[in-house]
Amino acid sequence: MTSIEFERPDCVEFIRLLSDSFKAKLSGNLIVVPPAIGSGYIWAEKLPLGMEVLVANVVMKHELAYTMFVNSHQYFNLQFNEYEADLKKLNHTAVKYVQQFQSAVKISNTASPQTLVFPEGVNLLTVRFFFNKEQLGQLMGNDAMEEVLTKYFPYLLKQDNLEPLATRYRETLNDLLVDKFESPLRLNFIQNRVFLLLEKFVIQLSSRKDITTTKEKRTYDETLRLIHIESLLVKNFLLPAPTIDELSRISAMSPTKLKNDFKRMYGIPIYSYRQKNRMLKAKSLLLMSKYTIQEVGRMVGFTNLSHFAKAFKKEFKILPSELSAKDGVLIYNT
Amino acid sequence: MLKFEYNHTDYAELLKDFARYFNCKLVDNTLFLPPHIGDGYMKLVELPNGLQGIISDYTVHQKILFHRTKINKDYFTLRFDEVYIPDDANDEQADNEIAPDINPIRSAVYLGSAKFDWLFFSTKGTKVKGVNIIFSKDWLETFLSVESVGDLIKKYLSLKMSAFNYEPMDMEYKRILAEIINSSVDPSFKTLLIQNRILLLLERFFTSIYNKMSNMHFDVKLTNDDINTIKQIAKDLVQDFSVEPHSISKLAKMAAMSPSKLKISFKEIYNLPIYTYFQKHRMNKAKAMLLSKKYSVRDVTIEVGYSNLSNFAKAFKKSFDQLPSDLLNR
Repeated sequence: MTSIEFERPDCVEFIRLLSDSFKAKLSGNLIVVPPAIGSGYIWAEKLPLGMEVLVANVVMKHELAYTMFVNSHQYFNLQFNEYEADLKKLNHTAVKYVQQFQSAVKISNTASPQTLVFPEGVNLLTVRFFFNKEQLGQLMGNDAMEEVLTKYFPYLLKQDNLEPLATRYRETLNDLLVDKFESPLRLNFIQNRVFLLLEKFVIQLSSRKDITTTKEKRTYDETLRLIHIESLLVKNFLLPAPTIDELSRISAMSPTKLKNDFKRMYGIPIYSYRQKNRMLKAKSLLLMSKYTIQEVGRMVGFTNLSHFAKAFKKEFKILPSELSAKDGVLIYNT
Repeated sequence: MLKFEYNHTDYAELLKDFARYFNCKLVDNTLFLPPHIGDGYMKLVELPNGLQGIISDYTVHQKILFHRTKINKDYFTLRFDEVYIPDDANDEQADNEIAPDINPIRSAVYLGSAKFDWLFFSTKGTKVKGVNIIFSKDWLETFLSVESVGDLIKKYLSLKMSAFNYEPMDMEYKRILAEIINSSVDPSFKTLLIQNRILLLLERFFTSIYNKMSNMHFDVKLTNDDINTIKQIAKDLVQDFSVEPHSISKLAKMAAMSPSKLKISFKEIYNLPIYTYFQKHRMNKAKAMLLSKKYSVRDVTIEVGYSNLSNFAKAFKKSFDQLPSDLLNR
């Protein structure tokens, strides 16, 4: 475990230190991980508004861990982590990571040490950024900023809080999880995606009911089990949806408790949640304009295209065909 | 006809003056049009990042002319307007001498300079949905200064032009606009949502400016007359697909331009070559007809000017990755 001390969060400086320790060349603020250590890339950027962002998509041969101590405690860190691996090929520690931390969003502040762990043999995809009160205010206005800081953040920081990495984040994360940007307005492109992630996070908080009422507390273990349930629901739309009975068995909760707790944590009932994410996935696939509507329909588990079109329309108020019209605009409303 | 002249660079003041002119009150920075004038609203947004904008969603009940008079200040307005003009208004407009001249721009995205006059004429029944942002040259320079391509874009914007990078509202712009107008988030987070969408609009718009410049079309200087002429050419081109489109030389004659000037200017305005534009609209019409489920594939084939069903199907598949029959079977 390597420890580094900073006055304030500085991802760009951190990348420089990493490149020394990896003996890897920096190109701009990007490191390509040398084959001796692993594979993948890590980059950092200071955004026009002053926020610091770090993005990594790596697989390491051995576990590497870094701790960043930040002297100023005025910053928040929001991180989106995904661990992908073949469970059979992994050693015990890696299995633990994948099972415990898959697809999670975490918020912390710099009063606690910031850690970055690259587990052994696991593909870690992470997007994390630091921001402070002033930056949040410039993003949402001071009133909304105060509301977020007093109503939601204290609760989130106190609990060891894990949010699911739902599909609505993935579309934006995929824009950032690249080693080269096509956009000529590179910094604005990155910054806008970071803003969108923050927006989605904050708006999701406001739709959750459990956050300000402490009436029914979940244990940390129950939270993990619910996250596991969520990942089962959205991981594969090709298979039929698991039944409540199955999910209740897997989560070791009664069906009623499962349904209630799920709704409290994710804002909507289990199957509405699945359907919503299924449609969001379809939408982002269509927007790639790589697949036909038929293909997308099949990829999210519809055998009947007209059911797909209907479900899509219900969610987004437009037909898949209206979305997929390659940069075309439906100008005729006959 | 109502006429309103203004030259504000402060939109808060502008909206107050609109309210005074329409003889109504602002509620929560929003102007609700009085019934004899229209139905809908114009809303001021003042963003934490220092930008001001007006969000509009209204239908007018009588003719209105908005006239922004030129001032010698370095300000820009970025407009995203979706404008629907009712069908019968076109006939009425034909009699109206001023209308065709002063209304070259309808559903469009573009950056206007405050150093030129700008007119917007709405006939009875016109629907307007849009976002309009004002910023100073300084703001824009700060915005662009962090980017490596910033200087190049600034150079382009220093050209003396009334409007830059005129673009059609495409699906993506419309989607972002709809998220601004129809958002149903918790009111506390409305500002966050709107600011983020406006930043996305800016990002997309300036990306497109840059992409156009790197295609080297930006040195064409277009006058308002040129833009009007070309809009007319584009309109004629897509009016009736059942007849052969005119040749470039015929179109050039109609526009009183050289063929190469016509081709370059057309691409500058619509971002597409002439016949690609023609084909895109032709296929869109076909698609819309099929989606309406009122026509057979054969009807549509003839209506959009194909004599051969399989040629039509091929062209359709090329545009939309689907066969025409796929749309009917759904």
